[in-house]
Amino acid sequence: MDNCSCGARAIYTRKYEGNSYCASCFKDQFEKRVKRTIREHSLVGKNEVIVVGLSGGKDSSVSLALMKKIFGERPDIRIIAVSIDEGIEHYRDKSLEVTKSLTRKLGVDHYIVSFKTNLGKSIDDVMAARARGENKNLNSCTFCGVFRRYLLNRASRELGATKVCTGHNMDDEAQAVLINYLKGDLKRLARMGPSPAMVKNAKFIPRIKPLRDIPEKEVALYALITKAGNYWGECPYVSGIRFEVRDFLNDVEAKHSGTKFSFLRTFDAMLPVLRETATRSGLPEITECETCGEPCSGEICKVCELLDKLDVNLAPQETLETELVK
Amino acid sequence: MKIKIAWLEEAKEMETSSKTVLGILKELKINPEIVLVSVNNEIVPDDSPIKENDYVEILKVVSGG
Ligand SMILES: [Zn+2]
Ligand SMILES: [Zn+2]
Repeated sequence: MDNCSCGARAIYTRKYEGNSYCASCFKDQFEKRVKRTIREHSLVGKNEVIVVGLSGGKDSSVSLALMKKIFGERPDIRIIAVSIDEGIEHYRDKSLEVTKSLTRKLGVDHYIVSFKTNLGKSIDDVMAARARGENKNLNSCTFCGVFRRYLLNRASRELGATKVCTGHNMDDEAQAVLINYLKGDLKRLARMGPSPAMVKNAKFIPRIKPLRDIPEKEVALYALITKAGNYWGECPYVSGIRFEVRDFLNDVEAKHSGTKFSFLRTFDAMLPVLRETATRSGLPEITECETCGEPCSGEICKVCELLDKLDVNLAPQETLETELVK
Repeated sequence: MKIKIAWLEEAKEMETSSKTVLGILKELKINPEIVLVSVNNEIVPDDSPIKENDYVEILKVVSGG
């Protein structure tokens, strides 16, 4: 076991490069890499309002703490946290408490947007209905993800955001790339990558992922040593291909270190060509949903389509109902 | 030798011939990619040595959503 190059006791060895780090050098190096990702892909410019999606998990907690640390002193940049409450008892209620104490500690304005208030149903409601035999073919992660992205984008826009920042790490990205390959979803693949591109619509707030170059294990280590996040709860409803892909990538990584890293680098290198190909085969036209007015590629958006399937009849709202955390 | 191990909210004694953290993880069939390990309450790299009576805590760090 090697010491850190500074001489202190190492807490971590990055296998694919062979270097060992003490807690303090690891933390410095981590922050440098995130700053480099932000700079290389011009993720943040001047005069920005950045909404950080905050779930209470380690990834989003670390991304909020770092955005605040890096940009908190800039007078032209405002950081706001937004948490989505899907209504999952024993999971989201606990993690929401974690988010509140973090934003109080960091002194960041924090809003909570609930499924139940704004879309008429919590995930628990939907799952209970499914247990009774309704909408059997709906995958919980699919509609949960669709609802969550919709509310986060819309709430961010209503708060005046110029960017939406998420906690996606290298593992999340590698999994998403592989899943889209396996599904043959070229259009979605072309929309990935470090900087937002392709879909340009004033109602879509561009997304940034400052942790995208950092493996999940290192995000966890940073969360532990900086005490930015220490909630490790898992959603009780998780299922599907993502978890098979996650295990597969981790199995390969354990035997051949650096695999996830090179997989994602290769993808990034191919991205310009991918985007060209996807554009040539025609991009979906962005229209506005006839029911709710949100941007979509069709007559009605995915959210309104799913709500219809779930028999929810909602009067269209001018703005979302949000709760400001005190 | 005997060590004490904590994994998935369960702590127990374990008899092992492994000499490193990585050896313990292999023995328990845990992928090192998904955990952080502390020995006697200090986070350590995977190739750290293990000795008699060590308290080895394994924390699962990959998320599910
Ligand atoms: Zn050091
Ligand atoms: Zn709609």
